[in-house]
Amino acid sequence: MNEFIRSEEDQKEDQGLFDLWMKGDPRGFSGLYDRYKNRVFGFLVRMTGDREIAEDLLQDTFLAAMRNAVQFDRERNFLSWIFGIAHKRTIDYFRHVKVENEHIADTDRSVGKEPDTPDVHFSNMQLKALINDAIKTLDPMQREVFLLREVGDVSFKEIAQIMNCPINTALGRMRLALKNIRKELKRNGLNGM
Amino acid sequence: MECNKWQQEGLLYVSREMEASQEEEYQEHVQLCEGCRDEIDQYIRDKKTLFSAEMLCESPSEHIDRKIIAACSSMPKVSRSITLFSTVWFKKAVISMVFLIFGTGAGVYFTMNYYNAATNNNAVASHKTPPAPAVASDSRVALARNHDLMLSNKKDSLKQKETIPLVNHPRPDAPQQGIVTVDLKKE
Repeated sequence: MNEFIRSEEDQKEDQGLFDLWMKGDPRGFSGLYDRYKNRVFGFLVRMTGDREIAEDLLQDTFLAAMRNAVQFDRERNFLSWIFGIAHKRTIDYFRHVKVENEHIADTDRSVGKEPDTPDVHFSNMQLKALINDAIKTLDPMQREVFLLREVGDVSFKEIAQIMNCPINTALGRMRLALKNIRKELKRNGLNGM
Repeated sequence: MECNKWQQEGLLYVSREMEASQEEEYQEHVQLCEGCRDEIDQYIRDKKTLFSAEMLCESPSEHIDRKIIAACSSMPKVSRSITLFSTVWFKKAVISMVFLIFGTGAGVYFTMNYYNAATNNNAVASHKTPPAPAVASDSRVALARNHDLMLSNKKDSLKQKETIPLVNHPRPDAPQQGIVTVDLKKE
């Protein structure tokens, strides 16, 4: 079973922690934060390409969650909700700073790298670096759908709502993202696992 | 060869977002379609290795953790009465109330103006024109009466014209009121 697939029990635990948080019990928030900080931070790092900016956005995300906690719909998944907020923070960041050019520059840099030989065995660190580079080459929309789905475990229906697009568009972006990541990994000498 | 169904249905199938009937239908398709089978196998493989938590998650620094937990855990107990004012529907209600008040005010203002104008017109009309004659049994008599009335109205209006004082253009021989300027040189 993949660790990203959450069971109903996980969701119940989330609700319990959320209720504790709303009652003012600090264990509620710290429990939720410890559960999901790495996923949200992973999403933000890959979206912005900068750890420091991602840390700022992580703070913004959880502070915004705290401000809007009362409006949270209990029927909804907590993780989808927090990723929705993270998505909005990222969009705001891109709007204000306009770092799209940096992304293109990063992409160009990674394109210029020498491909490794196909038979090479990768360590986890190398593999992670390769995946990061592959994700960086994606179109921002494809990257966002991919990260929301794979890191956030957000359903396609919710991704479509978060990104304000039809579900088929989200599915199309995901398909292209997977295709491009595989292509990029193959180009760097990784022929599937 | 990539099957068209992979994008539309395959991705929903692997993310468990399909309804039971659709899922069964797609499973039947997968048994026949090699392209979809390959895509599903590859996706599951990638998800276990490349798209795992170890590969995609990152840990923020400890001081950020402390900062966020300190800022968010110390949230005071939020009471419903306070949060009522921050809810979306409350804001919408306030905005619609403002529009309603302004709209009603504007409506009342225009109605009053219209009503005043109408009453003024009626007053002028009733002053100038005499009341309509009673039902005339004979049309000739009625016509004669109307003719007499028209003549009398004309006379009245002429009289009125004659009696209107010339405020802005006083006659030269009229006695002057207020400050009188005297041309000393002439005198």
